[in-house]
Amino acid sequence: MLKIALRNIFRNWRRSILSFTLIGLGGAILFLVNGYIADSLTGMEIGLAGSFGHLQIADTGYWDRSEEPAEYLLLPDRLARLEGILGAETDVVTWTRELEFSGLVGRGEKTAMLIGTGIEVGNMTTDPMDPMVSTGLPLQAGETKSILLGRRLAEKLNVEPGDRVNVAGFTVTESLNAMTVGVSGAFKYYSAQWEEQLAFVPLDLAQSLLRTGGVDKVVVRLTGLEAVSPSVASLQAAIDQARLGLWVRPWQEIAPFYTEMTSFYDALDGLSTIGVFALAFFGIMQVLTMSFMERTREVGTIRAVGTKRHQVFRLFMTEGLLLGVLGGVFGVALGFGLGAAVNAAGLGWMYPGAAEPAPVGIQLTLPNAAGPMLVAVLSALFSAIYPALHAARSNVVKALRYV
Amino acid sequence: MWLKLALRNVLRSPRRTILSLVIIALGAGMLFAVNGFVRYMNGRLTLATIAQYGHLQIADADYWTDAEDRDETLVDPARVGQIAASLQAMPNVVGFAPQLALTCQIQKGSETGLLFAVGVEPRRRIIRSFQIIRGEDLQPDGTGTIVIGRLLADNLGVGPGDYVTLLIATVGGSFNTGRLRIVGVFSAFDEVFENQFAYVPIGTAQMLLNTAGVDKIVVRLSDDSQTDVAAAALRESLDASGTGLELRTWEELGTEHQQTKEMFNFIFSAVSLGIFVLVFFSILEVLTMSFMERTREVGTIRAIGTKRKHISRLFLTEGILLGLIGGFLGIFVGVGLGALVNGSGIAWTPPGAVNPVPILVQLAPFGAVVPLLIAMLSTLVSAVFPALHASRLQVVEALRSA
Amino acid sequence: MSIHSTGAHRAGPPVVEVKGLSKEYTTGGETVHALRDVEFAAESGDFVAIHGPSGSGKTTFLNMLGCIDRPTSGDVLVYGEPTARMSEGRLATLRRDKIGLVFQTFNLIPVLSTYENIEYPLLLQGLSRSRRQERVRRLIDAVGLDKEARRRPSKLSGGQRQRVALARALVTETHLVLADEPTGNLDTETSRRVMGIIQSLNADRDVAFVVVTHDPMVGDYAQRTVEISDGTLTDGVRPSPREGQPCG
Repeated sequence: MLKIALRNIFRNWRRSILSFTLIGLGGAILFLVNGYIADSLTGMEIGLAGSFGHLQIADTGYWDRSEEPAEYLLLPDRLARLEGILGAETDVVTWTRELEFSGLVGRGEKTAMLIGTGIEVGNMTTDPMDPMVSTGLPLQAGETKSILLGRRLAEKLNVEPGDRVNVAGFTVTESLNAMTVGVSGAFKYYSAQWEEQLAFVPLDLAQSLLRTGGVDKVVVRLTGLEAVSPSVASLQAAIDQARLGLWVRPWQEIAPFYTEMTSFYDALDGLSTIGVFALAFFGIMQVLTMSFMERTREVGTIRAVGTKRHQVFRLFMTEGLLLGVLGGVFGVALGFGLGAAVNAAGLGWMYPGAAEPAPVGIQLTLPNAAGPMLVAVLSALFSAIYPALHAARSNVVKALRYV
Repeated sequence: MWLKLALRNVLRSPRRTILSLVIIALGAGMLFAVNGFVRYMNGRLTLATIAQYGHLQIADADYWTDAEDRDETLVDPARVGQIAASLQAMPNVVGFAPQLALTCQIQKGSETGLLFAVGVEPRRRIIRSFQIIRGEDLQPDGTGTIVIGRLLADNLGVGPGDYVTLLIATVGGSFNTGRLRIVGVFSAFDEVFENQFAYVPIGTAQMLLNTAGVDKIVVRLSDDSQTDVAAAALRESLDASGTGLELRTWEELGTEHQQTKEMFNFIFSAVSLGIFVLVFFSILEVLTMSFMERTREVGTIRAIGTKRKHISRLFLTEGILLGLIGGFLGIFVGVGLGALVNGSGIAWTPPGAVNPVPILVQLAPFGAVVPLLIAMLSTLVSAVFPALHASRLQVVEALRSA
Repeated sequence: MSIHSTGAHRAGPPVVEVKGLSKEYTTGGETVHALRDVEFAAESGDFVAIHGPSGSGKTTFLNMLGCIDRPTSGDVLVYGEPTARMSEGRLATLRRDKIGLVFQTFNLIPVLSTYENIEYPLLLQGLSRSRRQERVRRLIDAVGLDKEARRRPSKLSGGQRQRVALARALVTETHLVLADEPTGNLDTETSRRVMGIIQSLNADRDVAFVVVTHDPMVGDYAQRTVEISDGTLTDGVRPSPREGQPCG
């Protein structure tokens, strides 16, 4: 039966080509959409987890902004106990401490808002900043009084690496503190808006500016993305047990836009699947109806010589299935080809608020092909039902007379 | 006569016709719905941009390029007067007002935050991108008052009636401070907006910065579509007056919004292409088979004197009719899909937004044009090859086929 | 049965004339000689039956006469005009105006009614509405299909369909009608009726009928019969009067 079905599909080569192209295109479109989404999300995940760390741990009062710095800062002894827990956790690879502050940065007459983060220079928890640096150098170990400015911030202030700027901020005791520091360089960020306000300083500088020995959060690197959920659970449990009043948060919650992007992508994926399925469904039904109708006399003949109704039905359903499978395979192959072409073209696009174009890539992996294959096969199969039923139910005599 | 023949041929086989029409209608309908969605989103974006920036902004040329220090780019009262005069004279200007902004820190207790305080004229509200949710808006006589965003208010733990300190940096690292009374709290679309923006009376801003000048004049027009016309006229008079002032339109200012619009337009183009291609191949399939079935008929009418070009004309007409009818039906499908989406009440929170945005599809006749054209074009183009092929048949061969 | 002389019924050249006509084609590497150096002529008012077994080349011959295929060598003259060098467009016009065709499988346009099928060639010619109406009506009457004027071919019997075909063939007032196995798909009774109609049309209208057939019954209605076998015609040009029929 399979052999007959297979041969029947290729009967009319021109029509076969058209049918396969139709399903193939539908499948290819879905493959490209899936591939793009997968590529984009993977890129995002890696990037975000790399910059924000897999986990961040801070006082609950910091996260929900319910307390003043004096209360939520992690002072050395609380910090030490946290670090003890982290050291004991198997999936934890390394961690680092950070202290954020807001203030003003100025040079001569020009001042600008500043959101600064004090970081441990040389710590490998988050990805090194080297690739992001556009001019000058990243912060160097041993150079306490230096600052790395967002590129647009640097442009706004009209400063170059080596220039000196004033940084002002409020200390934990509510007095104002200002310092003069040297600009080590400028860095590129994914968001144009943040690039205008962000800066990094060595942790010691931030602590001096704010006159504290504490930090506001600890950023943790795990063995991999898969370790995130289990680690959040076990760390939180250990922390609660030690009554540290801290909250462990995974990168997805911290990274801006991640949830919005995923929901957007889900919608995109869903809608395109439905759209392609609908068009493919009717398109194939079209083809099968006509093709089966042409063979009415043939059906009459084989029924006359003893083929049963349900066998006819099965034959046509098999043809539909094969059409879906072969068309789907063709579509995936086409998708791979087109995807490779897109990747090679090195396209980029400026998403809203971007500082730089983001690369457009299609992830060419077999799991991505599953969805499109399924849609191809299902649409072919379902659309074959009605024509197959109709062919199976036809009256033998009338069928034989059909010209 | 070809029209009659074409029309009857299209309707020849009911089942096939219905399926073909369904395909075209589905494609056109989906396009219509997507188009309606994109137009809705772009409309919102335009509204949001204009709400945030006004229609036009006029400032010193160097203000726009950030090339000079603040002092150099302020617009003094004399120049302001000049501009005001020109603006009064323009018919499509509905209102205008000066603005003076300062970057500072806001402090309450030990809590501090960054602030972008915009000095505005309480009487002349040109920018309308927020709503007062607690307390009241700035009053014309309210020197030393301020309205702040909700997120900021919550962070600092303040509300109407409380006092806050503003810390403004000046030359050489010293700071000017001002103590202001909060009269109102506003909510806005954007998180950043609610967290980092505040409004003060322009007089207060000028006092804090020790100047009589302003950053810019913000202009509102009677109609969005007037923007380019008004901009051109104003640019001319600004250049002529030699005041060193330059104009920016909302389109030029709202780059992020523009980028979002471009993204949506791109999505629409991509979807159009996808649908065009799928419909094209489906119909190509149908027409090829349908024309092939009529080979003997084509041979006959060629034999009795019909010319080749008549044949191709006939088949192309059939293609056009199919596309036209299908596209027209597609409008109904599109309206149906759109109504479904509108009625479902789904909403989406775009990145950076505070509240979800309802997903709506704009159902206007104008939006039907492009989808209809695409559906028709796709059908027509797919008819070309089969039509040409049919017209080129050898009469004798054609007569011989079943 | 009416009698016509086979001499000059009309002044002028024969309605269709064929000289030295040969047709070859190659299929699957072999060359087939469908027609070999054929000579033939028919005058208006003639009624010729071309009789031969299948594969004899009779359909190919008719295709030549009808200018729907081109000869390998030789020429076909229609109303005295040589056609071998005519462009496809001119040939189409020729077929439209000067030649009527009737097929074994009727070949009507399924989406048009009886009236509209007959009307079709006149639409190609661009005749005015009133003139079209006049002619179509006349022919509908002539073939006796008054009541079926609005019906589509699928609702007509075989004999009725063939009558429509005949009417269509004659509507442009040609003097030459070529029929390929007109009775092939009809039962004996209907065949006789159709042949009778052809005969009366031939008599009343000064039209030459050339009928290709393997049905010997057709020969009873025709004035002369020509045999064709293996691509050669016998008694093509020189018509011999039918036995027992007086001339004139």
